[in-house]
Amino acid sequence: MIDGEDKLIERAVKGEASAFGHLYDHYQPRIYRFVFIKVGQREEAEDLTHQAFLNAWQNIQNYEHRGFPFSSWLYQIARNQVIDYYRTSRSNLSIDDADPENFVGPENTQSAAEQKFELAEIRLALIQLKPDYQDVIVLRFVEELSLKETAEALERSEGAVKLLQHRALQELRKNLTRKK
Amino acid sequence: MNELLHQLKKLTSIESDADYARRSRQLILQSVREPKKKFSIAALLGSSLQFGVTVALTGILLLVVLGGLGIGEFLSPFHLASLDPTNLRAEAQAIDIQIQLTDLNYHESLNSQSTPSTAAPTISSSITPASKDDVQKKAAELGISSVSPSSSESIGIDEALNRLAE
Repeated sequence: MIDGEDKLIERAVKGEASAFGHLYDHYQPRIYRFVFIKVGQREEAEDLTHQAFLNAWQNIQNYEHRGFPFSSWLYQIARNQVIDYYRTSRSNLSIDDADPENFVGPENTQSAAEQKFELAEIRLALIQLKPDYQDVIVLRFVEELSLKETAEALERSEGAVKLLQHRALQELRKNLTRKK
Repeated sequence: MNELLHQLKKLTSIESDADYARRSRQLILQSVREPKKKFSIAALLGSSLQFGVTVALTGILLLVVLGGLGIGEFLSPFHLASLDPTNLRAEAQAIDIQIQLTDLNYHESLNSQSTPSTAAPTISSSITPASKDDVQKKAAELGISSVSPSSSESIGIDEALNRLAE
């Protein structure tokens, strides 16, 4: 959540493009990351992220602040975009989906190639989970949303999210252990 | 568990291309937004009026269609008194047709005609055209008035046809 987010949202709802621009700058990297982990293709992730923000801007007058961060609403939109993408394109999971070149990482850590390869492996293990499990893992442990915010983004109860989280972590651990 | 979470944290290094982000932002903010429809009394009245007009026109159309069917039944020939088959039959039976044979002189001109060709059958000389007097005599025997339409004797058409057929 950014400082003065409520004011920015209020101005964006009234139609002020610059206010929405600030929101875009803050949330675009997160939404892109969430979408990319799900679809694995750079161009697809860019298109879906663009479409998600476009939908948000077109429908922001319908946004109602109900005590949750604006990001929960954005994640809902992005998640629906990904669901529609899976419905229309029959993509099969393959090792080619984890092209390390798709990952842009910082250069001041261990060698870029090794890091990219690690990221690709983790992503592969993640996308072998059910879509709901993937969403919970990414939102809770990558994007660091609270249980309440995650429940809002996934349109589920907090209890359901807790259960999903527990099962998702078990499955992910199995997948990572199997690969080793 | 910590190892798992540590590995997941590495995914935060995923970033989009900077040029893409700039272009996308520009396109989105330049896009046209449809204004939110505001609730107002005028809009509510307008939509109600529109609905009312639609209902009224539909009702009128139904009346015209159903009324047309009713008029069609009314104008049906079988419902006009003058064209009722039962009445027509009764009227036909009540008609008293008076047929009067007028001047029967159509055979007088045949005496002067010649036979047209040798191939055609010839008229027997034993057959002579009936004279006017013969016809009138015959008509008198049958009780048929052959001269004047103002004759007092008149019979029904059925009776006349029956007498001729005898």
